[in-house]
Amino acid sequence: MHMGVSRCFPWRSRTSNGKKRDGFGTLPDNVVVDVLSRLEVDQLKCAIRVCRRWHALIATAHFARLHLQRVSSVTVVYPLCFEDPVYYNVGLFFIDWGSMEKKPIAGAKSPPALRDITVDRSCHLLGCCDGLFILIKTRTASMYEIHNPVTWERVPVPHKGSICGFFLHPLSNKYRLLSYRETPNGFWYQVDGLGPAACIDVGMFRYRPREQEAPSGVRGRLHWMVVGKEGVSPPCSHSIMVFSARENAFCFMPHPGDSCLPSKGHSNMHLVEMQGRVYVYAIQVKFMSIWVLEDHASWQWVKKCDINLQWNLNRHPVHDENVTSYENYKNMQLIDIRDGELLLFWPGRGLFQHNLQSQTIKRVPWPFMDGFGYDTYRMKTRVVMVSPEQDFKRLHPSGRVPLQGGSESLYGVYILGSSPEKLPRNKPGEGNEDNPGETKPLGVGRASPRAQVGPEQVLKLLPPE
Amino acid sequence: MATSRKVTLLSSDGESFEVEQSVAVESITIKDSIEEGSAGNPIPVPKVNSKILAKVIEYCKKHVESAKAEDRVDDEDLVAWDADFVKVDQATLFDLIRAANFLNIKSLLDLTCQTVADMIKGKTPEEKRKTFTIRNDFTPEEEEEVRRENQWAFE
Repeated sequence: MHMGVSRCFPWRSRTSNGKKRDGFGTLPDNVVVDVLSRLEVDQLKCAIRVCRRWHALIATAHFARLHLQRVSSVTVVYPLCFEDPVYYNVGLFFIDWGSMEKKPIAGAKSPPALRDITVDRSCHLLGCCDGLFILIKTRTASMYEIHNPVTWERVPVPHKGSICGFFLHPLSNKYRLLSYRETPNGFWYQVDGLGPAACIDVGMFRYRPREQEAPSGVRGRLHWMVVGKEGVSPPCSHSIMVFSARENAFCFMPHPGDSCLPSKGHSNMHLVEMQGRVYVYAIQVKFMSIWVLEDHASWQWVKKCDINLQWNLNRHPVHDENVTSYENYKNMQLIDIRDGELLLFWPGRGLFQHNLQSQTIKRVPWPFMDGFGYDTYRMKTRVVMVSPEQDFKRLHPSGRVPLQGGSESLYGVYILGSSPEKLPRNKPGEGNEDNPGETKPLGVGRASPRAQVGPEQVLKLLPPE
Repeated sequence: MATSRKVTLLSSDGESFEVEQSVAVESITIKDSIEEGSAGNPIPVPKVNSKILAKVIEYCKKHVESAKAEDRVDDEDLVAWDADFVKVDQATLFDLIRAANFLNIKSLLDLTCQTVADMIKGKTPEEKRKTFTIRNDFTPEEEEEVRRENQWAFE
């Protein structure tokens, strides 16, 4: 079966001495790749050092692509409290859906694993794009940071306006920030890159995003519910603002559902981008209605479901006396929709999973809220979902050099320490500021479903804009 | 729809196994050779000995039966059955992988590859090598280079 071992396995430059045969040696490359591509990123970092063969198989563009297709995604849950300044924020928690999906062999469906990572406590999280977080420093005005949760690197991004979008531009395949500044006539929007590249003006508009967040968009379009100056609600027909990255233009669209009473505005309505789609949910008395945007071109919304929120309140007692009954459901937040389950945050009571089919709810054990700090979080606690569509463990390409000043080397491209011969090099002059022209290995396989960019397009990322 | 057509499979060490055609065609390799008419009877299965072929047939039988079941309640049971199926020694596991790869039985290949992937758990490369008796064939310089390449990714 093995004819000419040295021909089939060229990495074996020395003869093996016929001891106990290693099982892997008997497997063809495609199978070993299949096995290794199922490993988590931190396992891969280790696996690449096991032997020459594993190194040779892992350190390729093909492998990176295959691996990215397999990784699980993660929902990051981030509690933030406005009330008590001491507790600006705490750790980020992420729900690893992969730990559920990866266990079919064991036969048991484990509940979503909840783990936490910590971020600098003086920042709070605005958004997430491809696993990179954008944080705003709460004590300093206009000071933003991009944070890589794996390598712990932080890049300050000083900014004059309020950042309301952090996305990957579908054409140039670079990260961009959308921000606005309030002027007497309205709000002035512009798009910036992360480095010192020139900014692109978008224009002046009457509205700004209602929430302090920086979505990364769905298929190159960002969405927000908006308000005007002094928090005045726009008419229903203009309640949702959409920014198209390709066209560098805004448009204003109506929200789904019935028109709202002029006095109420759409304060009970919220927009979230999740799982590559746009959702709007509204809470009316004891119901939550959820719509999903089915077709962007025709702005067609479809009602996904109506949830009856009249759950047995006795089973889920409030941990906070400040929660009064009429506000029971008002601030409930939709965090995630996945596999027929909704993830809801119920202020004062905790995090819940709601099964759409059986209409049952289940409390998600959340160590933070169950234990000590619970009662310090009052009504204003808001859990924000930021969902990297890929494994949040993104490795940084220029990790060897500490990032300074938002250099354009922050591509967020997936890398596995591959050797330069295997992958395209930077063109000279494109290295980072410290070492211009140094060739850096760049991984490919940056499959970002949102931007619909395949690994092949990443290779074109290198030339300057 | 279920014809009781049977085929005979011949392992590499000369043992014959008679199975329903519906079971045999879980293997795309066998399915193709039957459809092409090049199968012959019995169908030889080189590279797969009787012990492994017996296991593979057991797997295919179980999965074909489960697919036929009217209600899909068996899903969780099947998963549990699969978990038991792969509780074998390493050598057998690798043999099963090779067989599944050669015979082109995707679900079995998935199952066995995932099992091996789950076994690659060690925190250090040395632990990983130990699990599978893999020889470290890096020169000390190469090893240092690879370690440095990935240094920034270490916690």
